[in-house]
Order: sequence, then C-alpha cells, then structure tokens
Amino acid sequence: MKKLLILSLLFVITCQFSAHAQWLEKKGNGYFKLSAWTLEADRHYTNSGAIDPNSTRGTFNLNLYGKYGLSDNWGIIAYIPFYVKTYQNHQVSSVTDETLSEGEAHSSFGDMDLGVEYRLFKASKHAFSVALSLGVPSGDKEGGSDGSYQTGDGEFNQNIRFNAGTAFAIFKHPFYAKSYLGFNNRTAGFSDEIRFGIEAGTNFFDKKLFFLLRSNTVRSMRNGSLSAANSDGSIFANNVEFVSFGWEASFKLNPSLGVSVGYESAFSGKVIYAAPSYSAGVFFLLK
Amino acid sequence: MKKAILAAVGILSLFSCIKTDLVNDRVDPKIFISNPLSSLKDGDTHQFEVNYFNYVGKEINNPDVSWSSSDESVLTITEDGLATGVNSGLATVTVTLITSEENLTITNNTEVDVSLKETEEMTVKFEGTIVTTSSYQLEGSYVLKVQDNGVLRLSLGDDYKASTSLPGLYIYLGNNPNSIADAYEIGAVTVFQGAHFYDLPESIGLYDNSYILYWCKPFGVKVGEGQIQ
Repeated sequence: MKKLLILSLLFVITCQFSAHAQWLEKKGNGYFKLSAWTLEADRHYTNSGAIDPNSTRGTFNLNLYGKYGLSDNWGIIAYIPFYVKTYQNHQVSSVTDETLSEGEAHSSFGDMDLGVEYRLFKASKHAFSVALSLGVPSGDKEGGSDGSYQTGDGEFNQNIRFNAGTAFAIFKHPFYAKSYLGFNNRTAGFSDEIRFGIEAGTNFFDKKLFFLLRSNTVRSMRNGSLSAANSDGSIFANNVEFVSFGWEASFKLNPSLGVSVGYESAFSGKVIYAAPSYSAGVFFLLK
Repeated sequence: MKKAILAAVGILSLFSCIKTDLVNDRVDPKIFISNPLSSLKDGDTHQFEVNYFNYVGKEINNPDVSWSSSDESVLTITEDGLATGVNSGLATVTVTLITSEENLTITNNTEVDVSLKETEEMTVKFEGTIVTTSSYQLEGSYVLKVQDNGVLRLSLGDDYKASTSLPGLYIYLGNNPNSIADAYEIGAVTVFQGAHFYDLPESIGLYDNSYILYWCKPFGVKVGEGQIQ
C-alpha cells in the first residue's frame, strides 16, 4: 500500500516547549511538569488559509516536560508525550440514524523533543540563551485503518532557537517578557520552518499565582518536496503555518509543587485545525 | 491534590472520547429510465427499466412505479413498463413514483420516436463540470460514456486541476452529495492535473449514479463534485 497521504495539524502547538516562565535553570534546579493536552476540531485552516469543515477529529496526550540545569550555563530540556490518542467521531445520518462511517481511534507514544540550552549572556534583568532541540520520531507516522491517525510525523528535525528575556516592573508590580526566534530544519521532504514568539507574564500573591500570555508564529519555508502528488511520503503537518495566542495560569500549592491550566488557539493559519487546545497539569520545582 | 489532578486529567480525557457527528444526508429522491430508446420500430416492444434512489440516495429495487404514454395512438405502455410501437410518430414515456417515505411524486420521461426503423437503444453520454465545494482547488470537465467495447469510462479533461495539498483525496460515484456511505469508491486520486480516465467495472451502469464526488477521506468531507444529469 502506498504510504498514506494525510496532513495532521496538531503537534506544532503542543510541541512548543511549553510555558515555564522562567529563565535557564540554575545548576541542580529543575522544572518538571506532567500535563494532559487536548484538541478537538470540526474545522481546519486549508492551504489557502480559509476555514473548511471536517469530520470531528481530536488528539489527546499525556506528556512530561522537563528542564534541568546541568550548570549555571547549560541546561537540558525534554518533552515526552508518552501517550497520544488520535480519534475521529462516528458519522451518523440525522435523517435515518444509520452510521455513515464508524469512528476510530489510535493511540501510541508520540514524537519526543530532546534538547539542550546554553546561556549566552545574562546581565541583571536581561538574559539571552540558545537552545537546540531534536525532534525524535518516536510516534507512529501511520495509524488506524487508513493510516491517517498518526501520532508522529516520522521525521527527525532539528530546531535551533534564540531566546531573549527581560524582567521589569509596572507600578512596582513585577513582570517579565521574553521572545524567541528559531529555525526548524525538517527532513524527509518536509518544509523547514521559521518559528518566533513572544511571552509576557507576572505573578500575584507572593509568587503563588503566575499568569502569562503568549503568541507563537510558525512560517513554512515551503522548500519541502512532499505533496499529495508524490505519494512516497506523508504530508503530515507539512507546510503548516499559524499565528496563535494563548494563556497559562499556574498556582503553587507549596514551594515545590503546583498546578497549571492553559489555552492556546491559532487565529490564522494554514493546514492546521481551527480550534483551541486546552491543557492541565501538575508541576514540580526541584531546588 | 491527587484528586484535583485526576479530575483535571479525567475531564480532559473525556473530551477525547469518540463521539457522534450528525450528518444531514437528505437528498431529493430521483428516478431514472435506465434504458431509453432513440427509436422503436412500429410493432416492436421494449421493456423499460428504472433506477430509483430514495431520500438518502440509496437504491431501492423494484419500486412501485406507474407508466404512461403521452400519445397512445403512437405508443402504448403497460403498468409494468412494456412499451409497444403502434404508429409512426413521437410519444413521451413517463414513469411516476410516489415515494413511500415522504409521499413525494417524482417523475422521469423520455421521448420515443416510433417509426419503421429498427429499434435502437439510445446512446447516451453525460458531460459536465467538476467544481470545488471547498477552499481547495478542484475543477475540470468530465465525460461519462460507454465505450465501443462496452466499458463505462469516466474521463477528466485537459482543464482538470486539483490541489496537491489535499490530503487523502478519493473519487467516488454516488447518489448522495452529502455522504459516501453508499457510493462506489473509484479509488485514490493520483492525477492532479490534466486529462486522465477511469474505466469502471461492469457492475456500474451509466444511470446508476448522479454525482461524481471528490472526498477527503481522512477529514470525512466533500471537496468537490460533478453532477451527472
């Protein structure tokens, strides 16, 4: 059987190293988060940016995200979606109640991101770092009866990104802002990507409650060879583009443990679901 | 706190259960005379046949139809659709069905030339246009015709173009533009520009389908269609 042609649209958002609104961890310190993440959509942005309907599809994953300081200048980062479920709803006739197509689900380990981060510069309230992460194709690039229930893209990508952050105060209330610019080198015929984003946050109640806003952008270089016309590969998440907006709130239950909830949605895009994603998790601070 | 975490994960996982999408797949029922004549020899008989597709495009065998002739001095027809040429001239044969589900009256007709010429079934080809029903590019002309060797062929014209960004694009023949549940799957689309054709199996008749459907299989959504009429 020819390899199946399918775009799936989801992991780009979830694979952004998610929100830990701090800088590079100090030596021996760490941030570890166990999250559940879900997205369900009956519409998607097409390759022209228009919104078209689709049968309701969704993805749910359980993931571990961790940052750990090997030294004051070096840290490691990991995003491990250890359970990913992709599914589609049953299609039932509203006229006859007959099932037009059976729903289906496929679950497996997802694509991991493993990386290192290096502090380039730090001066009082400003910090600059560079991170290299490797997208490990540990998920299933084909799944389900027609192969379209993928939990991974089947390619090994390398994402380098530069981070800049600063802390400041408004009316004596502490805030931080950070931004990043990255290049995602994709393989196996996928187009490379430029990624950039901004994030701003603050805390309340003596650093117990954190709240951040962020925006992520992905632009495709459109230099990949995969398309529906050459069926020797998957077009899973190829030429994805989006601008998304999201927020995340975290609450520290004690000095080392807390919970968080998040929301993110693309408000323009191409080849991506037109629906928000939600996440909830518990985090542990190692100090 | 464990309970809170479990509750949060549980609530999120509930969202990820397979649920049900309701699809309004009602269509207008249709009836076709599937073996029309171009001429009927005076004194010959011809058994007309019909295809009936109900309110969801499903074929119903042996529908309870009635037949009539516009001019019984030219052509007579029995309740079972057996026509006899009586005199030279033109007559219109009409088939009528009152649908059992919705009590709708639907008809189809064909004009018959009764003469001294030999009886001949009409050679029909359907021509039309494929149009996109989505935001993806899909367009072109088509011809559906029985070839000299008896094979039914669907031909797409030089002007055919389909977006190569379409995932899992398949082509079908069916009678319901909102569903492929009862449609015939021709196969995955592998040609995205220019003329090409599909030879159809013997089980597919010229009058068996009223739509060419282009369907994004993974997304379960129609991308384009061509009406066969």
